[in-house]
Amino acid sequence: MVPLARAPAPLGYYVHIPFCVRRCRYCSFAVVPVGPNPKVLSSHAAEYVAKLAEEMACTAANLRSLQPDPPPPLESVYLGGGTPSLLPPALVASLLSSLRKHHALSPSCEVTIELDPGTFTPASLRQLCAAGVTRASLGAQSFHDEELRGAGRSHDAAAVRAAAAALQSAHEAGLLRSWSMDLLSGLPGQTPGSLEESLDAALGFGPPHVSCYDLQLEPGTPFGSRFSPPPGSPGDAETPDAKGLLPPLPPPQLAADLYRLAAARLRAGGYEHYEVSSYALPGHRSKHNGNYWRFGGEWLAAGAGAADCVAGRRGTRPGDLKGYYEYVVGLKAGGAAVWEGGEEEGGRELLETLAMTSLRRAEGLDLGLVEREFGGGCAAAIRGAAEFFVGVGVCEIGGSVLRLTDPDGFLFSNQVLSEIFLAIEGEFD
Amino acid sequence: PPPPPERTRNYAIIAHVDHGKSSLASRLLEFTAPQSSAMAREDVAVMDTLAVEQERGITVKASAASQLHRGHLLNFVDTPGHADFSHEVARALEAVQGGLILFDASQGVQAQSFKVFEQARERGLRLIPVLTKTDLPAARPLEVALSVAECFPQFDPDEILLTSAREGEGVEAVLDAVVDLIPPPPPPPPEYGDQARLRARVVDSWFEPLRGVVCLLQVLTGSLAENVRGSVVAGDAASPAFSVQEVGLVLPARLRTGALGPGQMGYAIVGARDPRVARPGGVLVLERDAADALREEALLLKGGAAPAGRAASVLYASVHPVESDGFDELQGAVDKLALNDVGLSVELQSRGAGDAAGGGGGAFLGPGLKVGFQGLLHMEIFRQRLTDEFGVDALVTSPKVKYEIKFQASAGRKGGTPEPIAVEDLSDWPPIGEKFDVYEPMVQMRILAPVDNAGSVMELVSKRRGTDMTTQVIDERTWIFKSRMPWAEVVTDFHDELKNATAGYASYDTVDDGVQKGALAKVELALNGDVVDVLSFVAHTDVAPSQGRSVCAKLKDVLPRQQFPVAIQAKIGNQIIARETVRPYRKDVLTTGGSKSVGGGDVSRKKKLLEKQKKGKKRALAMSDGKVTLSQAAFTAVISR
Repeated sequence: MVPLARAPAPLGYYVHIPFCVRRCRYCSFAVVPVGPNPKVLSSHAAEYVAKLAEEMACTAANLRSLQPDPPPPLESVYLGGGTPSLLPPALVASLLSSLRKHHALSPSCEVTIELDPGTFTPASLRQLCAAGVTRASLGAQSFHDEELRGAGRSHDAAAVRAAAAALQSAHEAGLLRSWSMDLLSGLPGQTPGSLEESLDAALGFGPPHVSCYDLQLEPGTPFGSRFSPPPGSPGDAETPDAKGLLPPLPPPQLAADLYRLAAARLRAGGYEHYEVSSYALPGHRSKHNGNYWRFGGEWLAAGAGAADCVAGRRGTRPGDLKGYYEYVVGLKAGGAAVWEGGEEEGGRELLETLAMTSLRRAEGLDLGLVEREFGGGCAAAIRGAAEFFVGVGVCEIGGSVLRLTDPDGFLFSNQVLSEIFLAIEGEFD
Repeated sequence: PPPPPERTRNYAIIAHVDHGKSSLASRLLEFTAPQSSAMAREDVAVMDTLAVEQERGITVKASAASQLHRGHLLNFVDTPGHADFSHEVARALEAVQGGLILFDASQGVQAQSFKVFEQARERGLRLIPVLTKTDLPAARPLEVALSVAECFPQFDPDEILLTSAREGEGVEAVLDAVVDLIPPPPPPPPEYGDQARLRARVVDSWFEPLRGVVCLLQVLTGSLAENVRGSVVAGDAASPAFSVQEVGLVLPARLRTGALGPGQMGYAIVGARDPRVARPGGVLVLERDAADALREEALLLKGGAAPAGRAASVLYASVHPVESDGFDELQGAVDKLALNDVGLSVELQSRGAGDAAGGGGGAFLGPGLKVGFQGLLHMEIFRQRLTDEFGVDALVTSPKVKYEIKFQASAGRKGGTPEPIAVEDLSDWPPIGEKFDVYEPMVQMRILAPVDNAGSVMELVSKRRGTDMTTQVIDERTWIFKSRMPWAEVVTDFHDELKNATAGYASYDTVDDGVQKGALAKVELALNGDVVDVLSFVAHTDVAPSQGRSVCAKLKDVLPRQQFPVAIQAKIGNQIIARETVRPYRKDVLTTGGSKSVGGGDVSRKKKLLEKQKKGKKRALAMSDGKVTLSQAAFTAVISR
């Protein structure tokens, strides 16, 4: 195995807030639906934030035993969910102050919170910013009521507009350094026209960052069971809702075209398509996500279902509240952190991760790095596997860097990656 | 009882394509059909019975019918007009003593007019010239009659009959002329022994899934009844015996009469499933007479009578099943079709599915048949009939052209200069680095076109590398253009381009004319890096790059989208001259992640998915399946480059 010289990585911290008013029909994340009654939420929230504080303390102690020097200051903190904006701002402030007890935040630290329309007001947004939030990510998904209803979102398009306007003014007032608008393409009933309207509406609020995700059908979700395309169905056939209540799912061909449409529209708006689903104006890329995709990137985490990567090892916490609380109790009693049970990636798996995380970004995969870290054979094998895709215009090679083209390469990343995985396997066998 | 032979007339209707044969035939039948008879007028109108004929409005197969006029039995055969079906014309002419040669009163003499005239004259048939469509505003009967007489000096302009199928004019005069001018069938040849014995010529035969083998027969001697055992004698072989189940007249609807007498033409349904029992041109006899009949046939052949045979094919293509496991079904259907269509010749591809580079179609097409055709239209009709009549979908490759390769002597060559080779499958083309000359087959091209289009016709001929052009005036409207042209230029969509250049008013025919050395290059088409020889073609070096680009661009539009991108490349030697990509028809990306990633957790999830996909890919590789599927449109793209 080749020893890997890791660059001192900027450290990130992910905190998962699992509470949602209800579960969206496409969602497969670790989520605790609490309904619209604020009492239900408050019965859970304080206890959960307390548990987060406990876990953070354990993690810090754990790190000290690994490395006596204080850890480098955090470059990013991310409050994701679930719906973190359901937490009262005071709890968010308490959570962030718990974090500060154990970690220095660098002056440029990006502190992002995910917000859902209808769960915050300009006033609560000011409080969040006062507590240290510098960036917001708005789960808008669409500007069409039917599409939002179909997806099972807890808000309508008017709420999306109000939320976006609030973020726009907070950004203009300098309260927020940046913010992102999250959209979905491929929703049931979505057409090129309706997506274009959502994109135009979104751009009207001047978000410095846009994420546009192609809807994935996940097993175990309502969408996963309601929209099951018959095996072998052609790419131009739409999939009807098994319950007959929702409009059909766009055919794969149309979904691909919707993705292309979003890419073209956003690029024309001056956004850089810097990752498969992420678009940013210059200087507004997500620092936190960038760390996930960086070779050797490390981050800490807290919360139900959250994953971390420490010392090259990955771990994922239990996703349900009960399991998570037991985990924290165990930690306090000296139990192992999830990442400690993880295997440090090396050799083939590390190279696979490198290929996967690099190719999803516009920067691409540096074959020079591959050659230095894994040997010339691996670099040549990847080059060979990519040759065909270069020929068909899905990949391009500039100097020593292999990239997916935009948008067709991004749309096809799984084909390219699985081919590269195959080539890598050949090298390591 | 049928009229005696002296009151029987057998005649054919021949003409250039679309000069009104089938319409006139319908009017002739209507005229003689008793109003009270069971035969409705609608039945008469439908002489073209194949689905493909009704769809395209052309006659592909000769069809026949019987009628009574002035106490005479008239048997007539309608024939196809298109050049590709002249073998059908030839077969029909075997069964008659004379015919109507039709000329469109507005179009006048056309290329096929010459061809069918020559075919009839070779057989010494009495021809009656008839102008059709005289009611059309563009008709110019006098002029056309004069130019007919000029092109065919044996016709007197005054004896040319004028008809209009739409108005029903001239129909009776035509029937009278048939009775008065066409000779009765000749007495049976002296080689025939017992004149009362049944002998019936098989004019045509085909297979009907519900009825079995159906024969169109002309009774030469004796009579044919139901429930006898028969056999068809052709050349030096007698078919296995079968029972004759049903006999009747073709009016053209079938009328079961139970028997056919001497001179009559009619149909017989025989108890056989294999259509090869009744090859057209053969003679149906009673089973017990088969041995005698074989002796008679041998005597006739010795006496110089032409043997019943198949027309020589003028172009070949390979035919493959669309479904990879459909070869047996395809072969069965083609065999049955070939029985009915003497213009086809069929042989098994020499190379099988395992040979990726072979003309068998390799990994892309699998095993196939090499089929000979009379022309491009014939090829198209063939494919359509397979679908219409047998429910078999087939891929027909672009036509093969037989090139002669003469290797150049070179000092460095080991073992001396190889013998010249003939290359029909482009996979046999010599490899890169080999020095050789290419000789291509040539034809004499005869085009009849309106003089108004002379410029575009001449331009087309010279673009298609035609040389030695001469022109000749037929009448004030029409010229003949003659030129020597490479055959490869004719089979690549020349027909359509000529049609476009002349608003559909031109016609052409060709005669083989040796070979000629040419500056030719093989343009290879590769899909995802694999050369597909069935899509590759040979072109003159001046136009090879532009044709390569054009085929690439067309393929891009017609190749079906796959789950993966398809790269199309055109290469000459090692040089890539064109490149296109067929975009995949599905996305294949897992885009969740980013902010909704629960702390980067999706990295491992996505990795699991990719590992699964990788395994699938490995399996696919092992099966070498999942290749690009070629559609008929891909070959059309090559033909019409």
